[in-house]
Amino acid sequence: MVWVAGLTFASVWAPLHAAAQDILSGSITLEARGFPREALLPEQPDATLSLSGEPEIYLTWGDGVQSLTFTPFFRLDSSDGERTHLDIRELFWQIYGDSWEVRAGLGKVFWGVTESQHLVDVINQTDLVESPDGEDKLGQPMVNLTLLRSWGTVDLFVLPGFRERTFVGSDGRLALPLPVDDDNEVVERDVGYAARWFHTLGDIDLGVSHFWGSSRDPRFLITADDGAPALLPIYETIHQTSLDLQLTTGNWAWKLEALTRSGQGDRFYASVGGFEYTIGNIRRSGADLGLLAELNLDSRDDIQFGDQQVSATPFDQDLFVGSRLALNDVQDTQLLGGAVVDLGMGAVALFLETSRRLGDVWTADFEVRGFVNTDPSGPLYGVRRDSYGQFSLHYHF
Amino acid sequence: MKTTTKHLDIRGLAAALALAIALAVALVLIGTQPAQAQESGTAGSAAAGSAAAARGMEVALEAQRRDDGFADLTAAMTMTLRNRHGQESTRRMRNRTLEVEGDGDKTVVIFDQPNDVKGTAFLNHTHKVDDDDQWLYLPALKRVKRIASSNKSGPFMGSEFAYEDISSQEIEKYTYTFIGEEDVEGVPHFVIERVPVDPKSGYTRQVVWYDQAEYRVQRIDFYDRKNDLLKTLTYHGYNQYVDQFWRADRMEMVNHQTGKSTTLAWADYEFRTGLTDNDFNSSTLRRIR
Repeated sequence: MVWVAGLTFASVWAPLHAAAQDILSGSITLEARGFPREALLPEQPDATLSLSGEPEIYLTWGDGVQSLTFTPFFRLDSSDGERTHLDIRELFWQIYGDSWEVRAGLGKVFWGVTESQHLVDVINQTDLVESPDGEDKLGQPMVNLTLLRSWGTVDLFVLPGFRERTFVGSDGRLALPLPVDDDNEVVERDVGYAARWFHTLGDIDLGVSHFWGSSRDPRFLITADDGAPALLPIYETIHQTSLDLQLTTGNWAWKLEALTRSGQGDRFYASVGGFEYTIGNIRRSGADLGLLAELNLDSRDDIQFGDQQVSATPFDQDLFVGSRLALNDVQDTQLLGGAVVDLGMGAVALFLETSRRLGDVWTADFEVRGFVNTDPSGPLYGVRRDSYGQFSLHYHF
Repeated sequence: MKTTTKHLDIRGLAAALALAIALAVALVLIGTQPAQAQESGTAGSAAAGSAAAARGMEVALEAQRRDDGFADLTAAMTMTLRNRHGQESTRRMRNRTLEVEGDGDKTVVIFDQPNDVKGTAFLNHTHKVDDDDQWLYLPALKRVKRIASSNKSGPFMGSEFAYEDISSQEIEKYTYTFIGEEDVEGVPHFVIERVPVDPKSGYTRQVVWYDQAEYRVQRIDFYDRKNDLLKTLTYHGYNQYVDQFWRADRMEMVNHQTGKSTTLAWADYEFRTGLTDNDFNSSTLRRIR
């Protein structure tokens, strides 16, 4: 059924987009996941199929100076009702002058330089049902003023409206150990503010940011939701000051993200730093090989959770090592693989992501995530049986 | 007790990490010193060498002088990639270039096709001698990523053009030797050999044909690191813009070793459009379309 829907959708879009190529673009994706190990709960499936789409409508006038961008997103999932969802990733108006830009509406902003974790990237809420890697984000209401100066770029944000994180339902795989009570969530502030200075000094790209608002990553309380134990997310008001730094020279990119945050218990510090070393054009094949290593640290103490101590973050003391291979061929074949090792507990999260173009308008990717040697007090314990393989086919218009 | 040890641990590790980064930075800085000395040494000896070197340089300088002062330009690019079986695939891009006084040009390339890379933008601040500064804008994540630029010899978008072939051609990037004059289909040409200064270049040397009337590049032969003929680039359909600047409509790159070829067609050339430095700032990649 989903197949038929997808193909019909594609055949309807194709002629439409030819007429409106500059206005409409985007992609439709069919995704299949298989979980080789038996689930923890009987209602969790061994395989899922889902269909998602992210069209973008872009209107511009005044010689490109003003524009309107609208990017809705939907996913239909065969098993998890929480994963079946609709979002507006972007719906914003933009205007710019010689040395300033203004954006207003729902938007998406990325800060940071590292690969294993996007530590300082705080403006948008994570759409966690999409992928456990946390790279998918919900649209955030914002007014953003950008000032371009000789001494750097200043970004000022007013962020009215808070978005709660999405969580996989208990009838889906990759769920938290207990159901999330998302009807009674605690959000301390609805309005947030942020400021950022960014500058390039030769080989160095440097950003310093401050954020004041409700934390995007919640702390949890164990409560009884209709008698059964559940996790209650609490989004507390935080002040977070952060730094992101990259030194790019020769084949090396040295990266550091660091932050200090107050408002969630004691003030704490966290950092992620490391390098990416690129060997270009290996043996004149055209392929590039990147070698990556990053160390993640966090000063937060373990927290008492029910009857045990658990880590406050998945990245408390974790080493990421990985490798990136880009063939730079006509099909743009890419491969990224690696492991995040918890240096305290020895738990390992493994991943492999490959992608390739098929013809002109299709791409396919294959992804494997494995959770090995998990510890009952570690963050991976809840997904210890949820290692999976995922195949996606994308149609781009 | 536990808390204290953990904090100490973290600080120790953080200090070690900071030290490691500082050391690496120092090593890289020290490492680049002899390389630069060597580069200027090579350039120096070549320039002082023979009359052939001086005349080769003269031709290159005259060609550059005639292209000075274009200020900025925009153009549409269509790349047709062909494998040895004749199968084709197409890439569409838009190019914006800003002339920079005393340094290499700044360029941004915006990708329109294939559809899956639509909206991706590649920003390059080229330099006369040092590595270029390069950023990539990834629209799905809204991420601007600074990338290592030392990979000059790799293919651009899977084509037969290497990054160094499409990058700003600065005088300082080569040493020159005058080879001779040659009539090609009745048109007199200067033939120059140029040797890349950068040891990371994919070429030992290039042989360049300039027409004598307008000092326009008409053909380049590229020799690989084994000094075998690798590729030939030919320029077709030159037009003159704003009464001064010559640009080819079409560039044909043929790889003699693989049988693959790439046609790069240029259209919609506009000069002096009023682009400014801020249009080539990594921060403004977010608004680029």
